[in-house]
Amino acid sequence: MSEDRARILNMLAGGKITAEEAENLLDALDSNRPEKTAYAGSAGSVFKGDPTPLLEALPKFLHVKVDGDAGEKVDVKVPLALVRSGLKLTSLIPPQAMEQITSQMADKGMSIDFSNFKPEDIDELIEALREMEINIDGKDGEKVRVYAE
Amino acid sequence: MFPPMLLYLRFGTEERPGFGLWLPLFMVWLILLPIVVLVLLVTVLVDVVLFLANQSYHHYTLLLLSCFGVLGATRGTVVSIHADAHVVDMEFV
Repeated sequence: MSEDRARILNMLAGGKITAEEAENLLDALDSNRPEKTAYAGSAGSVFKGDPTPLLEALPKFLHVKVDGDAGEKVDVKVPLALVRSGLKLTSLIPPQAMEQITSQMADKGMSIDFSNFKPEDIDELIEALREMEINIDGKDGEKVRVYAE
Repeated sequence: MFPPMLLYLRFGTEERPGFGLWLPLFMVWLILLPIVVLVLLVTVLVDVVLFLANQSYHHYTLLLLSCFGVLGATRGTVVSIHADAHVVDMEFV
């Protein structure tokens, strides 16, 4: 089984795409039209066929859902375009300002060095979010769920 | 990408849906447009001067355009909070 085919089936199994979308993707994979190719994934595999269904299957939103122990609920839906734009913005911040931001964040316990982000890493990160799902169940019944859709 | 044109806010309780407000953000963008154009011209000028002075960083115009990109990407953001019988919904449309 090819890597692309396995990925589509995994997306279907994970409920990320519908059966119809999976069928379209598999059809596109089988059609093997050489005139249209698209880079798909971090492994460097080349997707042959119409890339539109694959692009449509990419996640559009990052969901953060929090269910508190006292019944409070927080639901945040952030467009991944915002994540992408924000990360690209960090690569344009002047170095002096970036040093200050990094040190201030480190003081608050977030040691993330945004200067290491490159544009190609951003696309890879967004693509990888498709597979990401975080489920946290607290001991008092609180739940946190983070996933891309 | 265009920035969000409307901001929907809803305040209420678990029992009563409360009231919703549609705020016309496009009016804010229209008012800010002359200022934005002016700032853009200034950044272009600054970047040209820095470039001619052989400064390593001269990307203020790109930085400003990226800020607009971030603003435009906020469209579709939804925040919903239900706590202590109060409900707050916010959506950038």
